[in-house]
Amino acid sequence: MIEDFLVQLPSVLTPTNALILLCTVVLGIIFGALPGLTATLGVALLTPVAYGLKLPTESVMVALLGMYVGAIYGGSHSAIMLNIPGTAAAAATAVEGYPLAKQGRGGEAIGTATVMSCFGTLAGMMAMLLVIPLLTRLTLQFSSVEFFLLALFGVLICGSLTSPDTPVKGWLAGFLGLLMATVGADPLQGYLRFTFGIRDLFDGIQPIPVLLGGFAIPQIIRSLKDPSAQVVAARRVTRVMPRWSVLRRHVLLSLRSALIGVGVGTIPGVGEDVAAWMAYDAARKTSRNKELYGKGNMEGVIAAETANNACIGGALVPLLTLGVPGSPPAAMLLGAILLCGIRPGPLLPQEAPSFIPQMAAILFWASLTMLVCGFAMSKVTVWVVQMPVAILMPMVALFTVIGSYALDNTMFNVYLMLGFGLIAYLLEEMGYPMAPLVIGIILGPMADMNLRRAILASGGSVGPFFGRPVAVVLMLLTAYSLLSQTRLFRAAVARVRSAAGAAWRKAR
Amino acid sequence: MLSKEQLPKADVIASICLILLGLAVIWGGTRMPLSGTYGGVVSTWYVSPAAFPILVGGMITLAATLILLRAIRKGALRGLREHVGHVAAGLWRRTGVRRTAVVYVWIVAYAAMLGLRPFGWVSGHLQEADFLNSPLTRFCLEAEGVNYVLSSFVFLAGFIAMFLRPHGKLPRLRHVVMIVCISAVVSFGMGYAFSELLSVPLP
Repeated sequence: MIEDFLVQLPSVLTPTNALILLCTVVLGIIFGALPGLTATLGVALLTPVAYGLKLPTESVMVALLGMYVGAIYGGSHSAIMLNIPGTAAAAATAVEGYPLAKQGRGGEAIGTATVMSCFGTLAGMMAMLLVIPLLTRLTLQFSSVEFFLLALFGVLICGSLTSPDTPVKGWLAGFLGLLMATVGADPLQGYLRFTFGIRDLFDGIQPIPVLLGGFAIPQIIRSLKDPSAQVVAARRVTRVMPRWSVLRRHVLLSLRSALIGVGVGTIPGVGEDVAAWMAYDAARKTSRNKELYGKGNMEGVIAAETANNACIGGALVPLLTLGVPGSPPAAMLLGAILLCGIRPGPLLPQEAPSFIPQMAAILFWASLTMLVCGFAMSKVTVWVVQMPVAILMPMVALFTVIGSYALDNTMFNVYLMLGFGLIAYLLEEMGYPMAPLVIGIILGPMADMNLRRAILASGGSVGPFFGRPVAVVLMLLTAYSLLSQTRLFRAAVARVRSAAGAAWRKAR
Repeated sequence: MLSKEQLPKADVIASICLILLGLAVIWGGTRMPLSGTYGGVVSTWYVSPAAFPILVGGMITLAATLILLRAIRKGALRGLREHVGHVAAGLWRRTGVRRTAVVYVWIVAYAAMLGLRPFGWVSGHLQEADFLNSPLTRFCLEAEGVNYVLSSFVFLAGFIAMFLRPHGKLPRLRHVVMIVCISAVVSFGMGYAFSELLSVPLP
């Protein structure tokens, strides 16, 4: 894999791709810096444009990964200088970055965030290159049973980890996604399900208009609902350069944060925001300067920024090997990969041998482009994010409408996007997260087809669900993710823990 | 997100709707063929197209029931009817609700303008006056291009005027000029860029 990656490194960077990469990384940084515009929305809006341009698959991936990497990093600019995280992934950065900016160290914080984001992306890319061959070998042993359980586990774990209220709401959102995936012709027999005679639904609900509606419409409404949510005065950006001595002192912290980022990225549907908060929390707990946290500690910026960008490589691991996206932007990327006619999964290395090393090479160039553009653009982004939301959001609405239309050249997708946007807004107001719903729509066909194939292969028996080792592990993980949310289970675990503690103390 | 006091009451209503949805999905599943033939097996339940929807419908019903029970345990049923009546009566008086409705309706109106093409007729009149015959004027004279640019202009100008108005005062001339300029440049620029440069068809 490493050799293939080295071969792909120069060949990916054609003049056209270099130009696309530069444009999309710059666009991604601006997009990420603008409050309310997330990496997921950026990838979602760019997909129909890149697809509509009929670019080769390689260039489409260059555009989307450039946007993904740029947007995840770009959030740090507004987080540090304005205390407004451009994306949820940069919220942890704001906690330490903004106090640093108030101390006049905003430029240094942006410089540190830029270098650590580049390091994080490269660490994620390395992890991707090392883990994918091992995981692919394992997944080749997977049967329909494992794929069904993996899809179910992905929906449930994503629901558990992303729900702002009870996890049941996260699971329910995931089930609604699975339900939406059943609309259209049944994948095994072609029977039309829940189409109500509407011809546009015969091919099923397209995920991209639904995702555009689910992410853009609630964001536009939320941004304009509160009249006080307007522009704040920016602080002046000083010299943008990190202190190398600080970076050297925190090598271990960076490595640990990168590992956390990659690990969180591999969990289906759990995105960069969770990775950043987990790394920030781990850094605070193990720091020698705990009292400085919240008052402007560079360690917090290093941990959060390394982890959220390392999450990108981590999220691509399950996406490419299993067809299960590791984060919401990765779910959008999966939609684009499928549009390009590539089928991620265990057979991907055989069907498109150069695709995975190509993706790693694109990540490599995207991280370097981000490093250069990040240093160059810090003053520009602070100026751009001061644009009033009343001007910015209608422009996002224009992109959302044309993006939904351009996919199939049909107004039905626009109406679908609008209808789903309203439902998504109402659901989010009631504490239902959107990420499991997205994962549900993407994984629905995989769950549907593999459940029936698994039972078909066993002649109607559910025996294989309990007889195969990986299936048993997945069932146990699924059961744990469900049971761990119940009070009874938590009380039982606490009782066992206290009994074990007492026994250990007695033994001492 | 709704406040802690409002959430359980909203959960009751939402979960009842979702239970009904889950039951409707199960009912819809039972209307499909309950056995199927595939890959050499004949008339078996497990290849039926209804199998997965019925399973998903069951899971939705179960999860929504859990949310309903949780909300009831939190005392959401106490004064639910009065609360709903109170919220419904004062709904339109809340600024957030009004702004939400205006934003959404305005976006829907924009989509309708693109779908119904109310400005398509303008291109017919303009075509008679075409004398430059350049790519720029050709774009300006196509029905899609004209309708897209004018609809987007109306949408943008209306949107910005509604939400950028400082402290509810009438927009001053400077504001009006700025809004018109931004709306004109963005709507024409986007239409031209998508249609001519990126070859993405316009609605």
